[in-house]
Amino acid sequence: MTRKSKKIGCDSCHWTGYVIDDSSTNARAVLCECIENCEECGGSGNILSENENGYSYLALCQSCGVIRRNVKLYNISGVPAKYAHVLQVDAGLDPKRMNTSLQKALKYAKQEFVKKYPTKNGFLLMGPSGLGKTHLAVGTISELTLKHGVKCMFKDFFYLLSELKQAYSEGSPENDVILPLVETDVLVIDELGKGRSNEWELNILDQLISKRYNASKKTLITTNYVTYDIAKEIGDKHEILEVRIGDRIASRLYEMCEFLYLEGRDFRKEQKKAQKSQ
Amino acid sequence: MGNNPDYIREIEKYFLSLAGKGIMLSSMDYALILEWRNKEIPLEVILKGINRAFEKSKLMNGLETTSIRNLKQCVQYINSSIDEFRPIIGKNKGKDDSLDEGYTLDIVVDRLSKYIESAKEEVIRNYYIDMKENILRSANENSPNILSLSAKIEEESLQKFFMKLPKLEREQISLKAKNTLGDRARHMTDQALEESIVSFRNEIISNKYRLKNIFSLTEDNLD
Repeated sequence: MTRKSKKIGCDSCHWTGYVIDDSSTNARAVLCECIENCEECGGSGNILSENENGYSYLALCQSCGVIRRNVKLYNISGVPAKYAHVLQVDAGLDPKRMNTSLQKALKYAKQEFVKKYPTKNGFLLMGPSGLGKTHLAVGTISELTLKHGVKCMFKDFFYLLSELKQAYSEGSPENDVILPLVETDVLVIDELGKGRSNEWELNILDQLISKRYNASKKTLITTNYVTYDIAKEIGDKHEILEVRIGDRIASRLYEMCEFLYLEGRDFRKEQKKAQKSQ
Repeated sequence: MGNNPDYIREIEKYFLSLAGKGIMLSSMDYALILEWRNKEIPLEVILKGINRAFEKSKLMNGLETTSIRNLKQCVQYINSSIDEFRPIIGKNKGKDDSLDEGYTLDIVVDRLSKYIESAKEEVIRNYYIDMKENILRSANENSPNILSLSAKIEEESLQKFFMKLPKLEREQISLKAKNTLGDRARHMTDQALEESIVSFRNEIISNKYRLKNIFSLTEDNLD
């Protein structure tokens, strides 16, 4: 497994080999010119190698092959453009300004989940809006795709259900609809429980979660709802997660994810306040 | 709980019932109670701390006598009771975020002191001592958020621990860490590969030598 990669990159791409474009709905990584003109492979991304038995085979270019592959993975992950700047778990997060719950979540996401992928459980981030739940989830899959070469997918719960509904109503075979969501190594479901889910929608969600559970795939979830236990402890009258998604799905999630409760002040409100006072 | 008028009365009553006749609370004692009430520390947690203070005092002074004359003498036990119940207290709404740092630094130092006390092997005791000293020094210099600082120092300490191991053992551990990554390593950037190997290596060392983490996320992931 010893690897001798040649350092590639330039100042324009901050030595990453790609730049991020946020001009469309989803963020897109674009290969930097320095990669396009790779001296090792001439920009093809592959080089002809020979194994110990003398057979030739096409191998990934040691200089740019990994970057090319990972950029493709990032581009199909569906990271929303507004999170284009979040390329790693701790991007833009200042430890001195984070409360303990966010630091703990960050520690789990970065030190445990990403660095020790795929040996640790996924995570479920719960708590009020504006605390950085989606930021952490996006940072996690951005780092996993761009640096670890893991296939990930980001889905807003609401849109996920709409897409599934549309596909079913168009008569697409069930497997065509649900399979890509099951097969992806890491799936982010953002804002789980948002909207009034009917029985059919919960049934589809149940199928998806169960299939991912059986396939030992990692699932990351963000939600504004809290579990019974947390609601009891904080004395919150919030709607309960188990009520929104049903005990069966919640029980699966308990096995698949570390449940992390985030608390604190809404950073969007704080930002707005700060802007007003300037 | 913050507006509960019985809060003060309950603590007062409980303290006096243990302290015995002829004792009254001072204004300083009432200030302490108000501080706890403002921080929304549950009544039961305070009472538990008071109880422990008296139990300890009785053990030291003979079964029926106690040297406790004011609440301040119970503060140490009340604070450890607060630390112990912090996973629950921490979730109270409206608490002052700035309290986190002090509490958490105390928790870290307290945990490390316990680890040092219980460590049987010198090499492991030194590992905790070194980590505790580093954390105290860095926390005083920069006043950073203690969890991130602890994580960083813990990683550095594990690295030092690894470097002190015999060469053959180091090689075996590194190989095991690389094998955990397997074929996935081909698709990782050099930096990610290195970070993951170190991470797995640290986990292997921690398990092998039973080194305790400062923060175990599975044990107290919500505090």
